[in-house]
Amino acid sequence: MNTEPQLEISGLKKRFESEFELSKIDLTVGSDEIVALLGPSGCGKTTILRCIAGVETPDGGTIRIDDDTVESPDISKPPEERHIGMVYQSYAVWPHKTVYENVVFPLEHASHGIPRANYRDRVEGILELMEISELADEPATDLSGGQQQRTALARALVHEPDLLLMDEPLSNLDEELRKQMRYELQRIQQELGVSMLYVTHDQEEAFYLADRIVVLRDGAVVERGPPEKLYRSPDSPFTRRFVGARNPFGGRIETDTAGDRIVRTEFVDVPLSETEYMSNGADGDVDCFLRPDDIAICGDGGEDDRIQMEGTVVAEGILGDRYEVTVEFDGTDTELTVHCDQYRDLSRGERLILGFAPKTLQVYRSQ
Amino acid sequence: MSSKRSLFESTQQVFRTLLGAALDRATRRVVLGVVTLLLTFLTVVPLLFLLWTSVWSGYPGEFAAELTVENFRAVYLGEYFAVWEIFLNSLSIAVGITLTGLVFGLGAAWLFVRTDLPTKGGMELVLLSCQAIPGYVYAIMYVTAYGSERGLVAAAVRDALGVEALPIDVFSPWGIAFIAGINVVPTFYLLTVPALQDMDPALEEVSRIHGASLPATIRIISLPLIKPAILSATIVAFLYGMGEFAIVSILGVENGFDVYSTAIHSAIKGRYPPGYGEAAALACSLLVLMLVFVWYYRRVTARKTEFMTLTGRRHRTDVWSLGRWRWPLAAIIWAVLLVVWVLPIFVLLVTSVHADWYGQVNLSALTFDHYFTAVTDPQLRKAFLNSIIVAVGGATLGTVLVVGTAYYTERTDGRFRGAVDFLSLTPLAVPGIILGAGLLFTFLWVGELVPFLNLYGTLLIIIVGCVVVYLPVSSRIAVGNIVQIHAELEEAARIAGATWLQQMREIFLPLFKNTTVVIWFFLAMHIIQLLSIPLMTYTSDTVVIPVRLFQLYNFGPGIALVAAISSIFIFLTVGFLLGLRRYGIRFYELGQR
Repeated sequence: MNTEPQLEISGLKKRFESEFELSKIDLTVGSDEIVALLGPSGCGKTTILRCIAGVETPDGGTIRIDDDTVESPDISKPPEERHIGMVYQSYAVWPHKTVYENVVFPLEHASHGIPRANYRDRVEGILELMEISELADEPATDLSGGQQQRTALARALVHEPDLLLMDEPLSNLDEELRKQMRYELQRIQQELGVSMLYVTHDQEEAFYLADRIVVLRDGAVVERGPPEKLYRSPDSPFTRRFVGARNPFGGRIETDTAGDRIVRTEFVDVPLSETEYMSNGADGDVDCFLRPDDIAICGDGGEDDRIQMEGTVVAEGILGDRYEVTVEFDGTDTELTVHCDQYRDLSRGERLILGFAPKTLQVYRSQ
Repeated sequence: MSSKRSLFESTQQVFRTLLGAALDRATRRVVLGVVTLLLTFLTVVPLLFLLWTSVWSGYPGEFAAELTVENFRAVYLGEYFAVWEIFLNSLSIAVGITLTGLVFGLGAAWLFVRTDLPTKGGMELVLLSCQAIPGYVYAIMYVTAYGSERGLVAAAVRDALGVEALPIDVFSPWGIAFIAGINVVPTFYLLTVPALQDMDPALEEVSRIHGASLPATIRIISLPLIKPAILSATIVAFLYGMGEFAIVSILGVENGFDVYSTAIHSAIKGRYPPGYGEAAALACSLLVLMLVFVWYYRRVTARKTEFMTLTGRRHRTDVWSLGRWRWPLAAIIWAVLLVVWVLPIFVLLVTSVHADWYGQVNLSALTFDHYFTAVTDPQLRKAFLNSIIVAVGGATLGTVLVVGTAYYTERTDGRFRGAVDFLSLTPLAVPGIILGAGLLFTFLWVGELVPFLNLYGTLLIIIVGCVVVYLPVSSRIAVGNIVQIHAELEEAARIAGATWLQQMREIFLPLFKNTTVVIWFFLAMHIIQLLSIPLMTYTSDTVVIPVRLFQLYNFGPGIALVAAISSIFIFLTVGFLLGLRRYGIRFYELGQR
């Protein structure tokens, strides 16, 4: 198997009139790898994708796809010579063609090694893989969102591109369908072994699918790494906040009367050495995060080394397959949300003691 | 005071609960009923009388006669009409107009919307401002600029080349078709621009990403996607071409070149006694042809909604780079604009300051006499006043009519919605000259049947005809904008306790105000320029400016006076348009909202 990266971007720059600019983006996607570009809307992730596809021209930098330079100061290949597949957020399924005509298009126009005689089999095969064989002769306008999505995906994969680009492909689907397609995408990627660059603002999607994640903010890479690392202990508070650890609150690092360094917050003090401290640190303001799963309701047992605190229930209810309760601490602005596996019959206004292990408290220097 | 008020309030309460609901329903019925009935009468009745006249042995209004096929026999077998030639002439004019509109209009639309052509904003302004110039003025401009005898440019080129005659004759059938076609380019442009703007650029991008080259993408993706818009614009241009009158009449007169409209016109106005029956028979033959096209047009535009489902929302408009062709292409387009639009206008102005015009600039004989005549001549003043009355009256009547019928077809579940919608489109198939003839026959009959409704010889007959001519376009504007207002806004008012009338006053009409204003000005602007209807229905008291210009050109003292009046007319229209622009009313943005 080819171990060379399928996509290499270095120093990609793109300036826009007023909004923002892409500054010196470096990026690689390895063979058979899924890389997710994660960031809030307007951070430039779609622009990167469009530069790779060749429908937007960057101001600087080089892009290499499968060892072939497609973009550099001297070269700018048109989209049709880059040998890629792409799925748009809006799917961009051609409304005047049938599903079959949509999917066979790349075979008829792109360069690939598939002989003409095999086109029909090839399209039928990929439609089967997408589980939409029965729709082949339907006009594209009659399709549901999920079916359009599958058509767009089939079209992007049918000619065995070197690289598959996905621009928020699931964001127009409803919740149930999104979960299902997420699973399908993983299955299809494994069956076909295609390299994929996946743009999304939905961290769940990124963590579920990607082998590596690149977090973007305002046109610059904030952080990159495997999902486990970014999920458990990201290096930056932006990532921490963005990847959906709820319960952010402010604090200060101080030295207490006993000479120990502590993290002091509005409702609890924790020794600094016992927390997960993410930067080298002198005294000063910090951002703290506690994941809802890491907080327990005391009385559940196993509370030996936990730090405990008492608050008032302000909201509670069943969320998905777990129970969620939000607790407020008297005289502070901080609310903590807690997830429990078991259902509990709490009511608003009830007093509650919460506990957490100090090492689950993530502390970042304020930026 | 307070008891008085509460008495009033309780009365109102009772009124509302007992009578109000019934009365409100009745009002709604009456308002919508009157509007739709009026529309039906205006579109159908002239055609019925036209048909009657075509199979009646007597004059319109003459009872002592009988049904006959003599008129049709006279048209097809008699010697007066060369029907086959008329048909071929009309067809070649229509095809020429359509091709010119297609090439120039669609080309401009694509270049302006989808490419980075430099100075395209200025080009668009020049192209669209030509809507302010009516067809007959257009033709006169071409006579003064490119006419083989009196054309300034033609003479200059002839001298420069040192030849006796130029190989290109403006008055040849294809020349006429080209000039008339140039006149429909702005319309063609406006009809195709929205489709280009609404198309999701991703549909084209994804084609290139998956391997198709730029030309292949245009051929396989872009053109098929905007095909409905192109088809409907093509049919509109073709229908217009089949009924074209003013330009053919002015440019073709020297060669005896006749199309349906000119033949019908001269059968009624140029013959004594007038050949009413034969004109009607000829008109009916053309109408049958036209109805086929309108039916096809309906089919095409109805199918358009299919394509809209995926492309309805606005997209960022990505433009394609023309690369090193940018400036050469811009230069070519400016040159074309100069030759077909700017130069003729300039020559018209030059002509207007000469005492007489022979195709030569004579600096020693410059004079403003014609302008003086134009503003002091009592006949012209009267015509100008009549034009204003017709424009204001027509715009007002037309606005009420199209807003009412658009409300009926889009907001009610009335039984005749489909029929009313179809009727509002049918005038597309009825050229102005034929409609004018139909109205003439109608009121010649009505004068005999119900004398107090006799509109013959009044401005009202002109107003009515002008309204019908512009029904298709203005009703499309109304319908297009009504569907943009969510019906829930009106329903919410009803749920909150408003009657239909209150709802109309408080919600619908305020929301629709802008469109109403735009429709009014659109109608006023176009009606004041219209020649065909007044030409068929005027009497000595109801001459309007277009008719006066036409008379002066054909029978009058000289082309220089006509040029002066035309110049004033153009200046006024352009000034009016610029004024509206200042208040944010731009007609050409209608389709794009």
